[in-house]
Amino acid sequence: MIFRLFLLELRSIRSDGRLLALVAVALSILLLSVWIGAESQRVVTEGRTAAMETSRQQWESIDRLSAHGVGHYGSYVYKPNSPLSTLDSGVMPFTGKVVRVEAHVQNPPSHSDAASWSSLVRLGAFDAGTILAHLLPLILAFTAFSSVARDRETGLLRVLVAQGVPLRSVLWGKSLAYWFLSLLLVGALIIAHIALGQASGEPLTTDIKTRLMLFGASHSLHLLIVVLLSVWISARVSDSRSALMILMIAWLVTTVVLPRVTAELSSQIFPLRSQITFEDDMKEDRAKGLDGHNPRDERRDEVRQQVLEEYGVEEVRQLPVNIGGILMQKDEEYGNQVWDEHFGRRHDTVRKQIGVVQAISFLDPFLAARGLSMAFAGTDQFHDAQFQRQSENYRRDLIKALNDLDAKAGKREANGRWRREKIDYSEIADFQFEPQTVDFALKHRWPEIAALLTWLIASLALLHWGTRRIPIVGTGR
Amino acid sequence: MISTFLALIQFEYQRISRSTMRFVAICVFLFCGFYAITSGAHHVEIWKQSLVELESRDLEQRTEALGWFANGAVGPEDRDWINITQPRWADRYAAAHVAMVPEPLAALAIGLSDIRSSWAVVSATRGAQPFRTSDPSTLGNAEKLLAGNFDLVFVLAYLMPLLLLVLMFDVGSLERDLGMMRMVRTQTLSPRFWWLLRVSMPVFMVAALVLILCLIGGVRTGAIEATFDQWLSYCGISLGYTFLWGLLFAAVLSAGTGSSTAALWMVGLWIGFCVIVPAAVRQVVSSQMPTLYASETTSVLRAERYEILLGNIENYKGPFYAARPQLSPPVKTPARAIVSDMDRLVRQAAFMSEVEGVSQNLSESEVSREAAVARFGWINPAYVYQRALCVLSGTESVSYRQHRQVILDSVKERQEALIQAQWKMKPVDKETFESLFSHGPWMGYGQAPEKGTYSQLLVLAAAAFVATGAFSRIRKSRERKTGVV
Repeated sequence: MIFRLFLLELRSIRSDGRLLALVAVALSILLLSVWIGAESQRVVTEGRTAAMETSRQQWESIDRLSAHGVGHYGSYVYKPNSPLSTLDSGVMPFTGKVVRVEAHVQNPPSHSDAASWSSLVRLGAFDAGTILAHLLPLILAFTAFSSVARDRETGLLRVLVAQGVPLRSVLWGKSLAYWFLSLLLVGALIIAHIALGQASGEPLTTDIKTRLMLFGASHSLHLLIVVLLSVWISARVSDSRSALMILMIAWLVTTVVLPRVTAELSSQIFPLRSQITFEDDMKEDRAKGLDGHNPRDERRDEVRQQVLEEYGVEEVRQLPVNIGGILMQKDEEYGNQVWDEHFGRRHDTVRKQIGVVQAISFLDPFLAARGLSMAFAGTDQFHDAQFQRQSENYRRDLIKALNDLDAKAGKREANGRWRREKIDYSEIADFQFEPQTVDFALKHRWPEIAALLTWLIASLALLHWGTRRIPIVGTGR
Repeated sequence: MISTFLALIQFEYQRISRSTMRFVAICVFLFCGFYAITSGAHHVEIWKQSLVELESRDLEQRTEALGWFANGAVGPEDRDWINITQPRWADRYAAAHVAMVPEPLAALAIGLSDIRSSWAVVSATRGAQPFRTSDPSTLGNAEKLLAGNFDLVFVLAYLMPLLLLVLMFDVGSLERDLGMMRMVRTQTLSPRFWWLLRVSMPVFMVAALVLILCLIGGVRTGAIEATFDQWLSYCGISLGYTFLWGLLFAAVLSAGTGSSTAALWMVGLWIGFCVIVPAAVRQVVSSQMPTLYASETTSVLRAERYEILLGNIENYKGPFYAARPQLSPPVKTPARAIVSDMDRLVRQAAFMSEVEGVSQNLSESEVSREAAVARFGWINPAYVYQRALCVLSGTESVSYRQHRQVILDSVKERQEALIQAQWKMKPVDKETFESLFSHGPWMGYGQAPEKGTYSQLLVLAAAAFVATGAFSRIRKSRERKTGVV
């Protein structure tokens, strides 16, 4: 029975030109977004390769600098785009793409897209994630708002019930028909993405396949929740106009108002210290360490004494190493503790803010769907933090390698002066980004998964047991 | 006519007051407006607090340095290599920043103020450049930025058309659904007047709500008192935007469809103009003019800077003296330390001109990207409206470009002051040191929107007006053919 009603509803949708036009528009927009996204991805990847080549060329042409001087010269690390960022760009436009890697300081990423755009950047992104999570629910609400109400107004619902069709089956048949439409859209999107990826020669790894599957599944679940609730509201409310208004207000609150209010709320509950305070505190703590560049620093003297004892000599000029390199590394290690403390605290606060949003996603399935969409596309805040962590680890390794070279690459001359060897800096490897697996996304986004499943169970229960008060006969006319 | 007018006002009042959903929609809109004003004011408070912190930090450092002058010292006791009578140390201790001060209206149009930095260090010797301004977005919660800000511009640009939709979608079309249109026409003196009045009433009602919100926002932020003309422009542009949407929805209603079809078309317009067009324009323009990885900037900040720092000083002396005819190379060879300081400033000046070049290129690429976006302005009303208000409030990209230029100018001014002091070959005295503080104006950048803004909105309004006429004609012709009203 449910299958027959499903087919009947599909036929009804097919005969309504307006609905077909809406579905066609949604499909065109989705496919267009994938195509434009793939094109942008290609341009960005080429740009990154060119920037990396230029930076490497500059690095390899370093000539007259000491190893510590090269630490100050530094390097640049360029954030790669996630292969699925064409589906959901997530926070990518708002986070920096370039990190200056240098001695003594942990620089945050800079040169975000948003920093060089006008306020247009605030009006949303044209990607599949946004269309599926933002627009499709509205389109579905607009196609489903009259699904039951219309039958009641035309008297068809009364006839169906009189013929012994359970009301629950009617709602199921209609819901499945609308969900089927959304599945078609999600399926077409994923096929288009794979086809474009194959055409451009991008590898389709197991991780990408799993991410794609989960991306599609999370949006499909969200759309199923939207469909079930839309059909139920269409059935529960006495006339289609009221159903339309309720659905529109619900859409507005869940997708437009609540996400913004939640973001504001999270930053008010867990405020971040101002950038100035953050920098001042860090500077103050940093100053408590030893100053590698200060020849009269007492802490520096202590370290010097330790090194002399370690090598069993009495004077620096007798050391088989350059003490400058060792002091710089000690200074760096102290600095690293300061950066860990302050950046760590800041990242913790951001994590808590995201935690508030995750908790509120139990009230708003859109928040859950959006979080999962970004996470499976590898473009959420957690993935971005991984890039920052990896670039900082690279910085520490690089500066340590340079300080070690500064300490050891050379020899002590007879007059006690340290003579530096010429160093080939091209042997030092460039930054290599290790992408996160899908487990990482699942580990950080379980609250959203739980929220989406809770909403699904609640919607299914509503459709199954919430039919008692549904009016069979219209009161509108 | 007057009695029809009064009867329709009464009817509209009843239609709204008896519809719970419409009443709820109005309340939600007003609540969102109040919340947006409060949220914007909170944002501006934090901004102002940052500036107070900045000022106190600068003051602390300057006071310490002035204390040395007062005590006849030249630096801290524990760091005897510091000598603030030398230009490079004077530069370091004459702490100054260039800051963008929030305009009162910034609370009603946050714009880019939570993405871009509103201050920068003024220093000629610490590698200060306009790009050194930290990117607040990368230190904060980017997911919050993605969610978007909740200011009055958002409420008016996004939510106001939806309120209008809720109030308008069944005007006339409900009568058509219920088969009452023929009766309405026979009982009305002028069906056109009846339709115009019905359609314009929700528009005027929403316009009144918009004005109320603008008034509350103006009082709450002090914009009415401080920048009345700008506030007036804010209200005027907002009202124009409201009437534009009224006209667009009137065009839909003039097609004479049923209420569900009208609602679908209206939502289609809203999705198109507020969601799809802005996002698609951004995507298309960014694929044509990508921001990429700032290779040019990073090259200047690293490779070219080091090339200047390590290169032969003679290569930079020629252009240095050519650009400053009032200076001439010292006749006698000065002390080694002075030569070293002079060379350092010559190199800094050469680096600064590279920075100016790359900053100019960056601004040009931003301007050309915005020009490409502006080409779609006539189909992108939400963005055009948002941009106009952000320009008025000094929170749009154009304001940040001006701010960046002011940073550059301040750094250059500081640099020139240090060069003058260095070439005098005398120690920096207290007066010269204090004169360094004056660099770096703290100001707001609110200004009148570009003229193109109004013409773009007017083009769309004219298109909607023409569409209204065309749809109305098509409807009449259909009614004549089919006899169905």
